[in-house]
Amino acid sequence: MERVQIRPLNRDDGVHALVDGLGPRFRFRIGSGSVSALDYEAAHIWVVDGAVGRYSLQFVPQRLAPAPRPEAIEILVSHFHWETGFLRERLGVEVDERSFGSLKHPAGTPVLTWISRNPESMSRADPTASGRSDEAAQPSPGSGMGNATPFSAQATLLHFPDDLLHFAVTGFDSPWTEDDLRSQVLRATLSYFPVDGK
Amino acid sequence: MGLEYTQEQNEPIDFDFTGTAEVPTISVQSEEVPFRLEAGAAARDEARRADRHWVSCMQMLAQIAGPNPGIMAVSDGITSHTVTAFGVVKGPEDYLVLYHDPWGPQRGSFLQRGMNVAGCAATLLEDGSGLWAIRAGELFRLLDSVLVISPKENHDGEGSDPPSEPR
Repeated sequence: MERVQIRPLNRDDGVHALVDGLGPRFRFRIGSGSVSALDYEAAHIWVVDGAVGRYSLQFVPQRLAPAPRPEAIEILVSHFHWETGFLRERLGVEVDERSFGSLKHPAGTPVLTWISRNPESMSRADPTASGRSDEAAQPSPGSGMGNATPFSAQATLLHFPDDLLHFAVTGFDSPWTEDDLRSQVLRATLSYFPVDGK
Repeated sequence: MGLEYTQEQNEPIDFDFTGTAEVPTISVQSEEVPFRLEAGAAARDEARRADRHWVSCMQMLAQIAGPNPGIMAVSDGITSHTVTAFGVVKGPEDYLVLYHDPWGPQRGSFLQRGMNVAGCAATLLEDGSGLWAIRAGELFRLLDSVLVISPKENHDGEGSDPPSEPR
């Protein structure tokens, strides 16, 4: 995979990430307010101190296997099942399957969204499982990020032709609700915009 | 409005506690503090509302990006109006919504610069189609709702109704 380069891009609705190295260049919104990047084992994580409160946004690109491609929704549902198993078996995090939902991006690709829960917070997460949202978003001691919400909002869409983009949002301290986090992760996902090409 | 002091501070106050000079006492009206907390909660609620409004608008944009036209209800808080969307195209920086305004070519469009108080500046397409284009981000300032029009499908002949299901 080509080296992924992400640069900040200020727009009138907040700070966006401009992504190179994953096929056609694209951008997505990180958030408005104070935005800082975390370097956690090369994972793409930002901490945003926005109007609703502090939250982390993690971006996980995944290359699709070079195989005959089914419909976009089938790829995303397959990813959802893989993600559900990964979270449960490796991190002890449950996915609330009732929270599973789908909607359509204006670019035409479907978007899947769901809520993952860890009632015992994220502190017991396997530190060897690098790059995963549910432990990567956990604040380190002394980071000043506060307590993570016991639930995270997740969303996935396809970036044609070869990549799948996964976003995860976890709140800190403030009275975040699941709907709040879902709104934040959808702001990131639906703001996906291919900058080059059609 | 912020914290208020019960004593006017016309003179600088000496905070040298090691000296023997009497230090003036300042009492703070603590009832002002809850007001400030409520202001923070109001800002959070406003941010929540803005996030959900944006997500809702993007979902409406996805609806009118489909093959069927959609009636868009728009309002700038003073004037309410409806226009008909005929698709969404990708611009260099944002999605562009193509629409027809029933005001017609003589009057222009409610969404063009100077015709609304929301600062929207739709432009007339130069292809002679009579359609206008507006950036999605601008449209979201006025967009209230979308009604997508699905044309009736003929089942057994042009103009015929579909067979009714027995109850």
